[in-house]
Amino acid sequence: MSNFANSVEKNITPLMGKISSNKVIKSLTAGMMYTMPLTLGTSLVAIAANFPVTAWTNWLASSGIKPHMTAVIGGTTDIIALFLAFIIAYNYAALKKEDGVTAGVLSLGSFIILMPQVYKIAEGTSINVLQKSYLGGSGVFVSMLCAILISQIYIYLNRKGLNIKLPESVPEMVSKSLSPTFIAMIIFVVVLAVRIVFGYTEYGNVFDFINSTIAKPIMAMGTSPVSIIIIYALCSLLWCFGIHPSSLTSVLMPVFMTAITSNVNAFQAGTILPYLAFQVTYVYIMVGGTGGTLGLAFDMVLFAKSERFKTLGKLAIIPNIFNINEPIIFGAPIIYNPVFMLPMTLSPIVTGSLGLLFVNLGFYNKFNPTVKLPWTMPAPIVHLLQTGLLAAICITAAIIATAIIYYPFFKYADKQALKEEQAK
Amino acid sequence: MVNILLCCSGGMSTSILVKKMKAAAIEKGIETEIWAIQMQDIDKHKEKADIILLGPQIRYALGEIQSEVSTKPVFVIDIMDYGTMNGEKVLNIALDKLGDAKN
Repeated sequence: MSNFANSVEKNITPLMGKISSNKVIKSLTAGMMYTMPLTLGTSLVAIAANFPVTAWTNWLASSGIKPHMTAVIGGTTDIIALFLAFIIAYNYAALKKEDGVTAGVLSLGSFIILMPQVYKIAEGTSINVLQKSYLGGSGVFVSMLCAILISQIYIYLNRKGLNIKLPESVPEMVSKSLSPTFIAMIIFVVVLAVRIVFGYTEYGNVFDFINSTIAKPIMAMGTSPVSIIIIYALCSLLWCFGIHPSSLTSVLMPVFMTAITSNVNAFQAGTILPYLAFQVTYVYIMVGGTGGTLGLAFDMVLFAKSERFKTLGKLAIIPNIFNINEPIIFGAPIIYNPVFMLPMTLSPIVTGSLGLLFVNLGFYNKFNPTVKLPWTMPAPIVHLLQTGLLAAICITAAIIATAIIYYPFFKYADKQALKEEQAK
Repeated sequence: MVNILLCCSGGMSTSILVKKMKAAAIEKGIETEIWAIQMQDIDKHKEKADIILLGPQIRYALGEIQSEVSTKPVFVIDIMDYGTMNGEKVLNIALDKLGDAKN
């Protein structure tokens, strides 16, 4: 077993290392992280805006307060691609030890340039507007591409020394602010050319082109609940071999951001959430930490007979309630341990399928994607606030299911540990 | 004063270990500053640290971090020690490695 595990580790770990140290991936992940103050910070308003008490929601509508609350989400989660265009470019440049702000500003400008800026409201009448859809779910892929490409071009040109060299007597701030001018000129000519070229295609602009050609198949593949279940079952398996799945999951980030933002856009507009099944299935797969270890933690606390698991249970249960499962993964251990491999892989499949079932039964029709809570919040609370009591009950049922799945394997490990202890 | 920096992907599980290590250090009577950060923030903290400990789940990043922090010892915490949050053992190993590094 350990030989196999070692060879797996020898071959796959360097690959994982390469993926996670890749600057593009790092920038995308940082992008997601830096938008958290926006998405998490607006949760309070998001919860209040949709609090499921009829008297309250009626008052919100009649007092005219509701549109203001909607606007809070409308200025943040709804248009997240706008922020990503800056943040990702900033991080990418900073990782390469270049000026992040300039890269960010250039990227943001290019992002807006590339989108349609006129909207036809009638024959012969157009208004100057930026469309929220392009700033939101329909802009996520483009914002990422734009950020990385513009940032890269900026870095390349900057390193080539295309700066304006000013005399020593000029204050540094002045030279610094004029430095990027030449580079910016070049970049905007490039962006102009891109805009013109795509203007001649049937799509009319980069956004619709990317969304229809590249984004569509990726989203279809990446957000199908079945493929997500399979991917995460694989991640659980990798975990058993000591490979942290974060490298894999970070690659999926563009898909996630697009899906979740599109759900937010739809919710704000009052339309059906395009990726509801995906989002719900995902949270069910992740319930209790990767591999649904919360169930195992409960088993330990409730049923352990050996000293070893009694102690581990007490140690691991509190973090696991808050979705931190490293103590139990390393302590059981689940890692490198054939005993727990099967339940670890089976768990996300079962809980994911349960999630999909509940969605199809309509239990998540009231799901509010604008309510975002830190990933450490216990799942039943999150579901209560995002959807309602029924959802909280459903997710609790899923947690109980993981406890059942792990039980026979836990019992075996517990017996072994008890035997060892009694032999001493 | 010994500065021990712990690092993992979320910075959360390592913070539990930090607490236990601090308690062990007090018992041993050693002055330490022990803290945990996320992997992405290593750049900002590496100057202050005397030694860097990685959670086993980010062991794939050992090579990368060692090359970034060539002057200081970097090592991966043992799986069992991490899982059982054995602060005393990890502290002892860290102090040992620091002792080795000085020689």
